[in-house]
Amino acid sequence: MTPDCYLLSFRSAHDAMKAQTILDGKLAYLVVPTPRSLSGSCGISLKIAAQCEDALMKLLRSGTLDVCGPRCWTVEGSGPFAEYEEMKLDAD
Amino acid sequence: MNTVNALGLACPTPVIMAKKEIEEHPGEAVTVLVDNEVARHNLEKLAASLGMSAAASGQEPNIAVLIVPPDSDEAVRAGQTECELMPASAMSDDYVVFFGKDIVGEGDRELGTNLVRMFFYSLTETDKLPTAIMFMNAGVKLPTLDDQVVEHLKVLASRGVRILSCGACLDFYKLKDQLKVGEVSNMYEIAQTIINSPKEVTL
Amino acid sequence: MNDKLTRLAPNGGCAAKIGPGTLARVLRDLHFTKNDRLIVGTETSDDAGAYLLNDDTVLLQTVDFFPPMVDDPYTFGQIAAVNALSDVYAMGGKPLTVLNIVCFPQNEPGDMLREILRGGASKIEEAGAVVAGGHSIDDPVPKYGLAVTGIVTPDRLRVNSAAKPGDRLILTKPVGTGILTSAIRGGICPPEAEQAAIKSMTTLNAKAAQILEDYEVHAVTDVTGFSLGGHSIELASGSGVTAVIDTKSVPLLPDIIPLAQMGIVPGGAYRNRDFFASRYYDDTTEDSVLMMDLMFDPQTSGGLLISVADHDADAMISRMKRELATDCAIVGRIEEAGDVSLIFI
Repeated sequence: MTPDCYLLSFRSAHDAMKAQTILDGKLAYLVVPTPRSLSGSCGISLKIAAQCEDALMKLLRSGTLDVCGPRCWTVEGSGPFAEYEEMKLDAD
Repeated sequence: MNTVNALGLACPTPVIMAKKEIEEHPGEAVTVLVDNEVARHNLEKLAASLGMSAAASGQEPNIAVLIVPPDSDEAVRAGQTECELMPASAMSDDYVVFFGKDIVGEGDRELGTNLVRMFFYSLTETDKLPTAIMFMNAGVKLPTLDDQVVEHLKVLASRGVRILSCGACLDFYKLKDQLKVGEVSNMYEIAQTIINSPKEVTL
Repeated sequence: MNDKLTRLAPNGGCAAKIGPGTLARVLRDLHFTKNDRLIVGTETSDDAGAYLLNDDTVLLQTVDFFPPMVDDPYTFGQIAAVNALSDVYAMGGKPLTVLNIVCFPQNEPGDMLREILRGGASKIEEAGAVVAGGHSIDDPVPKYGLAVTGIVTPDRLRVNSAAKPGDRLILTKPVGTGILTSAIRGGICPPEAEQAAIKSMTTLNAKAAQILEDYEVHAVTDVTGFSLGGHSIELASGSGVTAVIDTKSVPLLPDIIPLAQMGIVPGGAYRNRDFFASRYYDDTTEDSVLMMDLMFDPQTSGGLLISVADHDADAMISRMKRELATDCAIVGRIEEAGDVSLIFI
């Protein structure tokens, strides 16, 4: 089942900003505050539309984003009732 | 306008006072002043049980709950004239946002750009919306050049938030034809909006 | 004599309890000396303390007192005594001696206080216990209750932390006393509902406790200020299991649905729900706001919540329905531990 969208969270704001430089021109994203329920990440997250799933997965699997160590979450619903589930980022 | 002062009274007294007032003045709106969240929740339940709608403003210990009859015109009008009905202390919910630059805070530009995008995204997720968002000086780069901010502003505009950009500033940065959301405004209007609002937020 | 007793108390009954969140914060850094003979102490939020006197006897001790929630002093005395005695029944024990605890304004007529004590004495006698003494304080807000000492044999001791997956949950009194006492205070409680609430609050849990001795019961608690929801969560988390409560099967006092819908919901219900928010999951399909108001309504002198082996549940509930004066029902079941301690369906 396709989630409503994807969310990338990071350990530090620097990693989050590095990821943006890498993604610019490759993948559309929104800079959003990290949801309160996701602990262990910095405050800046990137939201990616469900339509961009293939491009996102390709980028993640290719290791392009590894330097900024993202965690990838599937998002169901929106606002305070959204549910987040972490995806395991296994290499092919 | 009927006002019930239930400040300092514990539940269930505020609910009972409000119910009595509503029954004595059928078809009229009632404002109930309470000092605690429990009373606010209970008044919202009372309104729902009577088929009326409730709008609360303010926070502990000054909360005003406006209960309006189901007639939708009345409800809309009550929403618009809320400011006249509320005591000054209970109006603290109304606010406007002012941006005089295109990032949040001082310091790193890249971080500031991230923060400004996150701020507007957060506003789209809250239910306490500002009445207006105003852009001046470099702030006008946001409703014109920043696609992410523009998307969020469109959401806010569709929910009734006024988006005002300073015309002279758009002119100065040669961005007048690139305004993607809201209206071109001027110093008079922006100054008046700030003066009329009980609270102004600058980032 | 029957002038408004509740006018002296801003909030009465178990609604006057310090909220569970506040209490947990205060107790967090307090460490009590451990003792091997103290079988049940403060850790599991159980109903009474249990101390192993010798191989045959466990000493049970509990104290409970609160401001009035009804205006008739005699009735208030009865409710406060029944509520305090209940903790001993919830541990499977018999109350032996009690001490009266009284706070009362000296400038108020003494016959009101006498009536409170008379009401308490009537229930203490019914429970087969004796008054061994008491203590009184001059206080503008009246309060009354008991310190109760009881005994139980070790094999009959019922803790709140031994429920097992597969058990069924039985509740021996209807819920809704928080909402109804709030309505009584506001002068809008329908008389039949008021009578039903008072009857429930003044009924000892002695009979229910006696019946459960004949069945395979794993855990018992009594439902008071932390509500059916809160006490279910404490029972389940203490037992390392998840409780499932079927909200539609929970017996309710009359008129509490329309009263809750119109906003007669005590502050304690909101405090309970907030405090336990992360430990339950609301899977009800309709009227979920209303249902949560009812499930987290703080109870005064509520019933026993019993976790009984599945094979004994039907026999026990049919006997209770025959012999108890209060509305009782199977309200849920116990499952293997999940993400939360309680699920409402």
